[in-house]
Amino acid sequence: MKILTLSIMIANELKNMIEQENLKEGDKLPSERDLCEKLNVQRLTLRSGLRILLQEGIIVSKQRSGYYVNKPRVEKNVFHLESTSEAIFQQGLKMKMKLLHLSKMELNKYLSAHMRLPLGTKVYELQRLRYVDDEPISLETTYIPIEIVPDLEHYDLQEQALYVILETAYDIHIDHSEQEILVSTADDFAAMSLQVAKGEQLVLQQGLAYDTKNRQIEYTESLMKMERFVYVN
Amino acid sequence: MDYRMPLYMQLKEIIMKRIEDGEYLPGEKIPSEREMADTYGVNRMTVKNAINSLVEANILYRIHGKGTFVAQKKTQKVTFYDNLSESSRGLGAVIKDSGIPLMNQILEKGVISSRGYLANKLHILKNEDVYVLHRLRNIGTESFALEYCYVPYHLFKDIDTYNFEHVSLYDYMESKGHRPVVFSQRLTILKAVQPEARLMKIAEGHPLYYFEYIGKDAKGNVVEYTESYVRCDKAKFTFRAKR
Repeated sequence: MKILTLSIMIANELKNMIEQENLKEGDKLPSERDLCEKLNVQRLTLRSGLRILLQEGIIVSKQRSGYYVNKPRVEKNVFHLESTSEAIFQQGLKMKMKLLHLSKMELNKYLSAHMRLPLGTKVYELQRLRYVDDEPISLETTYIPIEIVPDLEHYDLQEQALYVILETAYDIHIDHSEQEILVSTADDFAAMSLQVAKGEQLVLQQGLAYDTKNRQIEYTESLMKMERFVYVN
Repeated sequence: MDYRMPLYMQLKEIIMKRIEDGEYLPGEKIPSEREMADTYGVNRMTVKNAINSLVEANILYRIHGKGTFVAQKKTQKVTFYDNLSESSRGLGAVIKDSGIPLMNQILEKGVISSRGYLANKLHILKNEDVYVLHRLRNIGTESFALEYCYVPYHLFKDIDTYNFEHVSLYDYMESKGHRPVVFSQRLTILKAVQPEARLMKIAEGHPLYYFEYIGKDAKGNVVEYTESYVRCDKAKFTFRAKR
């Protein structure tokens, strides 16, 4: 067996161990020596396996202490459109939203193409920072046509989920959304908001949501910390 | 076409007409510059000029040492892993630089005895045989994705006699009555480390989609577990979700 497959195989067995033994956030992995014995491999091979787990963000290493199970990722379901707030709540994580700003603007060329609405359409620009367990994890900028949601500024966008406001106050029911997952880098503002270095790679999710009448309701660009999200179906 | 037009423009017209008529198909190789120069009794430079301008227009592309090929239409989205999504839901990938065919390079293949992890993923017993197929998928001279694919050997006893550089794995699985049709998928984005960076010829830290999926056939047998690393600069993942 070549070393390539061996390191992957060890990584896989380590993942299996974490799953089977139901290790949770903050739990310590056995020492390298014990793991070598358990998996019957050399120290070097074990480390190549551990490196894969570090890369995938499954574990973190603490100097002179060992390896620990990392925080769970926030799950985003790709079949069922639920707001991120709902997803986080279902996972039993503590979430908080901070409203950074709400303003009115006209669609420029870039946004017009993404929202499939004419240039100059008047929209609200809503920017929010999402925290999970007091850590900022995503910076979300949403655009909604003013015509559809007049007086949006009267609602509590910090405490209430946007989709709930749309449903209860405007009788708008989201039906589906088209989403793209890309990678971008943090500019000054994103770096400051998310407390990462400028130029740090971030996941960029762009999504356009339609309501039951097939109208474009909201377009959101979320800059998200790579290691904090997982897409599942 | 006017016979007084410059020769290289007339040549261009000939090639474009043949692409339009489907005589030259997307991904297919067109005659060499030398052959065309011979056929039409023109200077090789004239042929070169015609081809150059079609390459610039992204209608043709060259692979060094291999020849000139017809590109896919620019507007056509080339999708990948798209068969993994039920009725256009779920995750699929769109290749950004379409037009150039994907080529498969086999890194490793063979039967191994499963340990806990693969046994769990494939719903088989520990120590049951698993067929391993590790492939590098290239676009032209650059890597696009690295795929670690595992299938339960007992369902595919003659799998090793096929060459999956050319044969589609799903076509083969279909011929055995075990084409995967239902998938559970998981996608994260991470930074390349070794050995992926070396194998994919990218720098460490280069962003990669890490896409895992388990495929079941129509009868509900687990027929594959695949881990795929896809370059973020070469593709984007998309999905359509219902409320």
